[in-house]
Amino acid sequence: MKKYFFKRLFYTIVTLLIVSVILFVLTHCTGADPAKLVLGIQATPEAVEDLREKMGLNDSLIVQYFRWLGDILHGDLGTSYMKNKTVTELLGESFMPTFNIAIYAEIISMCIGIPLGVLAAKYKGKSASVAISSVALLGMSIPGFLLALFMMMAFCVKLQWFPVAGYTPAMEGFLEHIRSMTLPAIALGFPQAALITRTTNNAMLEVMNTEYIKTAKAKGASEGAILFKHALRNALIPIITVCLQSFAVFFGGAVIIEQIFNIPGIGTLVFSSISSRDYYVIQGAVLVIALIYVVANILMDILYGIVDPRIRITGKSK
Amino acid sequence: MKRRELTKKFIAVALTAAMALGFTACGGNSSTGNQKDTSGTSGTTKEEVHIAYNAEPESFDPVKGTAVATRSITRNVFEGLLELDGEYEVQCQLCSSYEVSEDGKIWTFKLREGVPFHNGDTMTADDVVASLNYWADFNSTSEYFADGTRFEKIDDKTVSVTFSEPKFLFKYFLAGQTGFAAIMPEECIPADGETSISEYIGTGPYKWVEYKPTQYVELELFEDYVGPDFECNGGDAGNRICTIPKVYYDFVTDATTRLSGTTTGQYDIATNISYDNIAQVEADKTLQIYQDWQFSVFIFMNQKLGVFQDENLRKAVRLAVDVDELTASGFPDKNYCKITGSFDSDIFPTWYVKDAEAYVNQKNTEEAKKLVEASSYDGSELKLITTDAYPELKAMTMVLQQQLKEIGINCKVESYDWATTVSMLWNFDPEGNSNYDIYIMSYPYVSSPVSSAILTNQYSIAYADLSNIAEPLEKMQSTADENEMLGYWKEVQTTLYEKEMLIKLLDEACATISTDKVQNLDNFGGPVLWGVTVTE
Repeated sequence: MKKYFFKRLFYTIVTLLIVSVILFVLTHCTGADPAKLVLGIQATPEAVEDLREKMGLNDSLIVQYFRWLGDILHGDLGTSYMKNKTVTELLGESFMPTFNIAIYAEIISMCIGIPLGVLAAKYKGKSASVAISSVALLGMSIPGFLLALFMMMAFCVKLQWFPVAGYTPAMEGFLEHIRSMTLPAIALGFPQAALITRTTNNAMLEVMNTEYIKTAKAKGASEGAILFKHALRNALIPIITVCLQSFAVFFGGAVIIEQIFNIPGIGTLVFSSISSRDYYVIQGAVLVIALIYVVANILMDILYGIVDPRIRITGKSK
Repeated sequence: MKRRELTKKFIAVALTAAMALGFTACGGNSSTGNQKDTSGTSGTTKEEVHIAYNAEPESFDPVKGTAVATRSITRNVFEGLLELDGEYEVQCQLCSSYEVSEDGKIWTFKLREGVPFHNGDTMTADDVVASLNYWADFNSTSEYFADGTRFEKIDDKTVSVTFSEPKFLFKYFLAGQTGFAAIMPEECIPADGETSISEYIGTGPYKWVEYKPTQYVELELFEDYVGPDFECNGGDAGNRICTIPKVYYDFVTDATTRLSGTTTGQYDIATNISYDNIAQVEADKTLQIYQDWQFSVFIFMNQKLGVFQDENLRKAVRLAVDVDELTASGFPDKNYCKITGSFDSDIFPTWYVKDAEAYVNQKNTEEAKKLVEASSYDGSELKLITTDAYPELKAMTMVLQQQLKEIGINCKVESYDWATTVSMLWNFDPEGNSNYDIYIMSYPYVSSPVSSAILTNQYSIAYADLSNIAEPLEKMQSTADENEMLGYWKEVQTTLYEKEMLIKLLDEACATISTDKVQNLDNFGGPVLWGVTVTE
């Protein structure tokens, strides 16, 4: 266990280092000057040059990178050029809205995707299965932003069931919190639900053809027990994979949905920072998202071991 | 902003004459405080008003922040010694009067007495001097102060500044719109000058409560506000009587969300509605729509590198441009653009030059073709740059590409996000910039043409030779005679167009909307909150 832990820690550090280099190079090669953006199009060359110097942008990329890396090792992700706050503060403020959307979207996608996938497998070849597969295909085909705009028109503007925009923290009223999160979570979770449906369906169909399921049937086990006790449990590995990957996707991919519903999450922060080339914020936010991906992968490994005792955390299977 | 009557030029003349003669009385010290309750309106006054604002500014420092959004939000908190009224005329705000010496070098300001800051202190001459010197150091007016000129305290009620050259137009800089000369307590000004202010304490009708990045700015009514003794007429000058207890500027970058949120009443006011949605808004009886004239739109051609160094080719472009066609693509509703050849349109009565109309929208393709054929242009593909950030500019650029093709100029349109566009167009290389040949760009209004970056910065005018207009621009500052000054301004414009330094196309209004519960809303570079009432 200790060996496994240090091995994963090593891989995590290496992964984040690689991400940090790629991220740093990409953000600094976008061809825009933050100093000009801060000062506006009426700025004089002298003022821009002065600000670049103060921002440290005139140093070589290597110097800037190691300065940033050194600051990170001291727990300092930098300070936003534009928002006059530390990146840690900004990420702290925007983490919860995105985390909430991701959790709710995950719940929605799992609650829809897994039962529908199981049902599609149960009714294989019948009209119910075809209908579920068609809905799943449709769900995967509809872009989240289109669904978001449609829902906004229908449920916010016409029916006025939900607020058009904004985020209410749970502490300020749970009902309002749920109202503000419902449509963004559906818009984000629905396409992913379709993916989980298809994954569950495929995994279930594979398991349903195995010998032990036939044996269970021959022994007279109930349909429910066959589906949920034997088949679903053995089909869980790909389902866990897609669910945890979805969670990471929700974190990194909520940019457009957060923009549409004006949710002050990490997506909105990244979007506004890219627009203003606020390097430290972009780098800090993407690094956090990368960390979430890494943690999601570690969780995946641990869950594999729990659902399938044959898999050990050493990565070897008996 | 509703379109203003433009027949008050005599006011400007009278003011300038009075200024040259001596003290300019701008009003006494009597004032009216803010009040939470309103009378004469039906329904209960809303406790909180939400403004869906389209842009989150890079800075809220009123001196260093150059965005229209910075000005629009912080003017609720800060005031200047001088401000522009609804007719774009300069009026006293925190001073009761000002004086300019006969030679135009010494400006002296008598401060209003008993003006409270939000922290409870009373404004002093020391605060004013410190604030104005901070502005002098970090605003684009640095050319005025490059020789070390400083504001000085004469006595507890008087401050002055002495220039080495006549500066008769200085009042327009002091009443400037973006990067404005906000007055704040001396202790709020960063000692090192390098950082921006961190405490937003001013004399305006609203107190700063909180800024939540990517979310909102919260303001609270300052009940002890003391304004000058004249009413506002839609601009920033005058007694800013406000009644709304709390105001939130919610940053909502998606135009559909701003519109939908106002339709449902989640927002009371929304800025920069898409021009495509104007018909929809006008059909909705629960919404009101306003024009907010903010930008002048120009065509710039690279005069340092490439084919547009040839003056005749630039002339060909000016002759060929059909601005009606351009606006038809960029502005589905014509009420939001105003085709004008004058550098400043007739919205600015003082600066409008009627003769300049002869240079715009000529649609003379035959003459333009001849000029292209006679030029050294070899038919190679030119770079026509635009940005995705401003759909109306992009739409006009696509039409311009076709119009240029008709006269034999072959252009490729390249569109970038705003950050990249800024870096591409203003790369500050004195040897020239090969990133573009031609582009359409809008610039926010400034209080006077002499403070326009276009006329003072070669990078903002695509490397046009500014020495052509340097002399008349300098003379504009050196005369107390209004007619003489305007004569020089006309000379500047004639040179701009005869030398084909730029092409002025139109002025652009942004569309602001509000619910029908909002009354007396004016727009002046963003929604103006003084005098506004909002009922439940």
